[in-house]
Amino acid sequence: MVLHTYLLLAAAIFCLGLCVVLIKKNTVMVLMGIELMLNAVNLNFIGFSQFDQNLMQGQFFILFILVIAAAEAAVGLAIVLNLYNHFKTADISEAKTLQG
Amino acid sequence: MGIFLSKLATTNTMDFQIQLALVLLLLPLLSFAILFFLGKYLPRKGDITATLLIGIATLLSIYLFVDVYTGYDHYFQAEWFKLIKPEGYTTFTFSILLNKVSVMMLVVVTFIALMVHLYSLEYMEGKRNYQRYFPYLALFTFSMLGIVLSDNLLIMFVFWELVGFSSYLLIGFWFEKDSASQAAKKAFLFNRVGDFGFICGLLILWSKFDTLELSILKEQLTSVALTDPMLMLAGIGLFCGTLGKSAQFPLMAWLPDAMEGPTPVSALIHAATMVAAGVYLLFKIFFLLALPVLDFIAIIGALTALMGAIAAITQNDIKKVLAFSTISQLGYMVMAMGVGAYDAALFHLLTHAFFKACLFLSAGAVIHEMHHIQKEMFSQGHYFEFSTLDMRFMGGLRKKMPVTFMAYLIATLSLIGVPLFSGFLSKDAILIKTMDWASYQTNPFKYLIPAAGLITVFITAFYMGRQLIMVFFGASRLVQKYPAAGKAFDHASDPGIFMKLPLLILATLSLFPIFSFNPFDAAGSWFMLNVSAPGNHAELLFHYLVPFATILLGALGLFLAWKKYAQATSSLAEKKEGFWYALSANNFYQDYATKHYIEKPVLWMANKMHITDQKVIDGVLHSFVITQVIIAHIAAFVDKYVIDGSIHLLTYLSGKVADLFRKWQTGGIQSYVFYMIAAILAILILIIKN
Repeated sequence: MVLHTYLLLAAAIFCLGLCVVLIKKNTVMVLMGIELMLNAVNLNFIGFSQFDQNLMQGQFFILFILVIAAAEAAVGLAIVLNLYNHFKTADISEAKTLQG
Repeated sequence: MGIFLSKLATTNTMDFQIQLALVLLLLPLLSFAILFFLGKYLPRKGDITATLLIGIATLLSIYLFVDVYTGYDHYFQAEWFKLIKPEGYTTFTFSILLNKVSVMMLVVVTFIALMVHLYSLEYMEGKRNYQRYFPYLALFTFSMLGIVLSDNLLIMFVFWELVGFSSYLLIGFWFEKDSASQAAKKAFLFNRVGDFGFICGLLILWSKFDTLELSILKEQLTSVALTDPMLMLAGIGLFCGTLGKSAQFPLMAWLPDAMEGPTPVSALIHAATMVAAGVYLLFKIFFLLALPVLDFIAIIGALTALMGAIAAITQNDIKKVLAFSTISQLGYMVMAMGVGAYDAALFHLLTHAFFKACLFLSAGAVIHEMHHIQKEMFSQGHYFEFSTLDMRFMGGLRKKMPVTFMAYLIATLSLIGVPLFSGFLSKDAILIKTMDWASYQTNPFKYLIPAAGLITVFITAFYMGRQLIMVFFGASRLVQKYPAAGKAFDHASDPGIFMKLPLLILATLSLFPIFSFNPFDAAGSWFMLNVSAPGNHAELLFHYLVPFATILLGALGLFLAWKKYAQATSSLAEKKEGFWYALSANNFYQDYATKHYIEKPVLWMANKMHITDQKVIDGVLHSFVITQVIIAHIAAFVDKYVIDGSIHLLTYLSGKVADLFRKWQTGGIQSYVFYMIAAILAILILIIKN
């Protein structure tokens, strides 16, 4: 497969994730958008790793990112839980106490 | 400059006599305090207490009198307080001097006060404000004793003012009566004028010598010429105090009005003691008076003696006759001071105190009796209003009130200066010394002064004879005018024992043996022997001439009075025409002059000053204030619209700018993420473009 395809797919998924992050009201959905964006980046790494046949640095990097994503999900869910406890809702648009 | 109050430090030891004198001084004050605060709880409102305390004071003063006359003078000086000056201290002291004159004054004051207290027990009984009467008397006695004892002019001045104040209280004792409160005010104001001079004299002495202690002044004056103009001015100033207190010529009009007070008060204050304080002051300051000042004093004294006597001739009020007579006799004393015969002046003060107090108290008895007659007439249903003081309604009281008549007769003869009575001795002493003084002067006009004295003897005999005849001789003019009063008049009698006793004692003290065993020799009296003024020895001629002249003039006066009034007892009104009559009856128009030439200009000036104050000074102030207000308004406008306006504009603008940016600050996390992405994209585009 050519690199082109990977990059386009990754960009599409990244944009989708970004849209989810920016648009969705449910905080859990926002977290999921972030996961999507991370994975879109992963696709890029995979696409580029074909130019490094011996070392597979891109694919190994993905493993790190996955671990970080798992940790991030744990922290993110904890934040969501606290957000819910505080505002009695999971709607992120309600958390506006910093409004000027 | 700080002020220290230091404790009393004795500069010499206080001996027994001084301690007694202090007790004596404080006894009347104690009496005042007790009666003033506790009087209403005491039996008879405390009058007995007051009389007892004053009796003790009298005994003490008699003891001191005997002690000083058989022993030595006593002097005590102590520090009162200090003022710090840039260099050293100014020390204020007080001092007590017991010499032959001051103990004589002590006896006079306490003794007459005791007599008046006794007399008042009966006279004032049941009168309005009885409770206040005795404390006031005690306050007066205290102040008078202070004047007598103090040898420091400043302390003396303090007591001098206290005397003026208590006199004010007592003249206005029946203050519900308008005339009484007016008289009290008049007396106070006239005294104020004199005291102004007094205080000026004190200031001059202080600025010159830095002390008002008479004993120190006396030492310092040995090195200063008496004719120093400032010193003469001080002498005149101090004499002004005498003018006021002793009712001398320009300031004499208050004393006749002061007769509005109760009669015993007139006897104590306005005959025997307070008015004599002026003479006593002259004696105290005699050493600093220069010859021209003394001449001035002699002239004022002679003039007052003559004027008082002339004014007494036409008075119909029994007390006013005595008041003018007092003025005239005080004039004698001042005249004697002026010619340097302070011994004679003080001797006359002594004898005058007794016989004049006796006259006033007897007059009080007569007034008391007239009051009784009027009261009885009212109770019998005869309503005939007449003044109980008016001699035109008296007459014929000789047989009704024999004791009063005897006392009155003795005191009158003493006042006229008839031999065998005390007044003869003292008046002769004055006249002989005055004559003597005149004979040593180069200016022959100075014979006018003894001449005025001799004429006054004649007038005194005349007006006292007139009074005696009008009050006691003939038939009662009240009954003649209003026959229905006859029954009430028949019941008239001598007063009770408390009033009779002082009359008898004082009358006895007006007889010659009390003062001199030789009734014709004033110089041989114990007082003149003990207190003798240095000076020229009287020429022997005057020793015979002057008594002869006084006897003759006195007899002539009495004879004329008898001739004029003994026949005319039935006529109620006297002839009222004639310039001299009007002059005398109106006391030389002094009240008129005061009203028109002092009171009116002063009021006119005050009025003009008031208008000036209102129009000019207030106007300037008001325009100033208005200008201020206008400026303030302009300033307020500028502040409000210019300064505040620019600040408001700034805040408005910054607010608007802030609003612009505020909208971006939504608080939603998604919008922040959006901005971030947008910014990253913008940066990427910029990087790629370049």
